[in-house]
Formats: sequence, C-alpha cells, structure tokens
Amino acid sequence: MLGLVGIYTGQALAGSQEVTVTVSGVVVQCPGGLVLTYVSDSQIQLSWAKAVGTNTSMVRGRFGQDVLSSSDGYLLYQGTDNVCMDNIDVGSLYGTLYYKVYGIADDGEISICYASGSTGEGAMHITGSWLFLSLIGLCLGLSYLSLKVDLVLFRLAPILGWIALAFMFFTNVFGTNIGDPWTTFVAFLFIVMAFAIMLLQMNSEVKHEAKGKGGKGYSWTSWGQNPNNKKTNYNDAYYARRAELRKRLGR
Amino acid sequence: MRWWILVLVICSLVVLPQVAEAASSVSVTINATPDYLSITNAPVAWNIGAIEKSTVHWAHGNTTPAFPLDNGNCTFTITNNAPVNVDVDIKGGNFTAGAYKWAIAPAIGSDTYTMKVGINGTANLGAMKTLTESYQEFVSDLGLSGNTTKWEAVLYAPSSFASSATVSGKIYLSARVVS
Repeated sequence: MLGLVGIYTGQALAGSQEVTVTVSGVVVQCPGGLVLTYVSDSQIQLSWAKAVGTNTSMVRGRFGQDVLSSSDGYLLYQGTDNVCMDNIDVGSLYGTLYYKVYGIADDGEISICYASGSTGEGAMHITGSWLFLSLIGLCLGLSYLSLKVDLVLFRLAPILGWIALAFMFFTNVFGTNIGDPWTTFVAFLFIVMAFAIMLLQMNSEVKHEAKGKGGKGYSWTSWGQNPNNKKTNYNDAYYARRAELRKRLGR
Repeated sequence: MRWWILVLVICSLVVLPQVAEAASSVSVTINATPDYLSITNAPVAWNIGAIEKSTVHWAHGNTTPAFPLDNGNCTFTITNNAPVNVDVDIKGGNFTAGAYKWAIAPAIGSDTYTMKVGINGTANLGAMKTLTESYQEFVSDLGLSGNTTKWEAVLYAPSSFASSATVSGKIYLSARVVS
C-alpha cells in the first residue's frame, strides 16, 4: 500500500541566530554646579560636578575679567578630584576672581562647555564693595571741602577722585561689567560729578572794582571761583600806600 | 465435452482475477533521516553600555583576553542542534537609534565602529575576523546534534560621537550544510 515517511515535528528549526548589541557613546558633557566657598581670608574653596564622560577636570582662574577659554587665565587645578582650593589673599581683593571648570576626557579632549563662577557673587564681593563705598564717601567729603576751603588742592582733589572712580568702573575694577547699562550709567555719573564740582566752583559772581586816579574807578562782574573771604586789613593797606607814596616823593 | 470447456472458461473468468489481484500488492518500507539546520546561540544580547570614544570593549568582562582564546574567556556559545555537521557564517550590521547610526567598517571613524570575533582557539587578535555587512565563514564543520563552540567579540568604539543616543544592532549567525 503506502510507504512510511519520517516527519520532524520537534522544535521550530532555526538555521540562523542573532546577537543584539546595545551601546551608547559618551559625549563629553559640561561640568556643573561650581560652588565657591569662603574658607578664610587666604582661601577660597571650589567644588563642582565632573563632566559626564570625563575623569579629569581643569580649573582656570582670572582676576578682574572672565576666563575666556580653556587656555586663558591661570591654571588653578587639573586632576581627578572635584574640589580644590585657591590660596589667595581674599582680604586684599578689590576686584573679582573669575573661575571656569572644564572637563577633560581620557583622550585629552577638553569640553567645550564649562561651569563658571566668580567671587563677585554673594558675600565674597563685599571687600570690593566696601572699597567702592569708601571711595564714594571720600569723594563726597572732598567735594564738600572744595566748596568750603579756598585751597587749590582741595578744589582739585574731588574732581580727580570722581574721575578715578569713573575710570575704575570703566575698567571693571569692582567686578562690574561696563557692558551692563547700569554700570555704564554709574561710570558716566561719576564723570558728571567731576564736572559738577568744577562748575560749582566757577558758579560765583565776582565783582571786580578798581579805582583810578582821583577816585574815578570802574567795576565789572565775572563768574569764577569765590574770592578769598579774608578781609583786607585796612590799616595795613593804608600804611603801605603811604609808605609807597613817600618813597616816590623821596621823603 | 464442450460444456466442460465452457465451465472451465467461466470458472477462470471468475477466480483468476481474484488470484491475480492478491499477487500484485507488496509492502515497501522507506527509512529516511531528515536533514535540517538548527543552531542556537547564547547569550542573545550584549549590552555594552556607555563607552568613550576610541576605546576597546571585550564582551567577556571587558578585559583583553589571553591568546589563544579558550572557553574561559569566550562569552558566546553556538550549539548545533541539527543532525548534520554545519558551517556557521557571521556578519555584522550598523547600529542605529532612529536616524542616528554607527556604521560598521574595518576601521573606526566618526560614528563608525569596528567589531572582531573569534572562536575558541583563535591564535591572536590578528586572526580574529573583522565583521562586515556580508556573511563570512566563522565556524567550520561544527559537529551535529548538540556540539558547541564558544566565541568572543570585541568592539572598537568610534573615534567621535555625534550623539550620546543609545544605538543597537545585531550580529547575525547563519548555519549551512558543510561545504
């Protein structure tokens, strides 16, 4: 009748197999969370979070101006830690210290982005602020004295003081940024103060009188500095004129 | 006499066909062993994780193994479940994550990776096979019915990444009758 034919009825046959591979590349990310902590007048502590994809961090600092690149400013730290100290005399600071932290991958690639911070943030800027306020007070005091004391040095001092303050603002000595509108405004305000002091000293009506022969004199007025308020010693002047007259007459 | 002849003829017509039919039926037994291809591979996944550029990653503990490769430092096992000896071919493929991909190539590059594989007994790194998108013979004459061979893979990461997206791809193994 019919012959027997074997039929495989076991598991599904698989002549091919696959291995699924899953992977992701690490792209160097940015360091983050740079925190500056005042430790003492001679130490600032910096701490940060390392950049993803890096084991090494590089910290650069710069005084008075922001760190512009990974080769700008001074190298404060390069290593595998995420904390370091800047041993600097904080107490003598009259400007701002800027810091940037970069990540460095094992192959030396430096992260494009960074974590940044400055001593101008928070309480650490107080040293510069006190200096700033002291100079303002000094200039105001000199301005007052210039209107009261009839000495050329006192008249010049406040003018130079206000100009110096304006210069400091223009050069960001106090950690300000002249690019900010308010900083520019204050800087120009100091210049206006300098000119105001000059104008105030000139804002005096001075009457000039002179007497010619026979007592017929003439007089005029002008604007300028206050004349010396010291009263003329009439007697001295009188005797002086008498002495001169005697000299002329040969008596 | 005639009627006897007539009786014999009639009897022949009735009986002989019956006799003839019984003699024409025979039984034939056919014994056939089916040939089929069946292999398995384990493990079926290799999760490398996050890697840095231009780095090297071995499947077995991510450490460079001693050569020649032995079973102790091979990660994957191919088992031949077929009743015949097989050759196993292998190929790789691009890794992808949406539109983003790592291309497979003999040399690494930007978003381009390299993968090498070797079976137990591979003498050195240079003797390992570099995967491409085309099949190449990987295991020769793997014994039938449960015979195994172990193998190891190494991935050379791209020299740069355009993205940190997780990509995935496959290593393909295909059995064929020993040629």
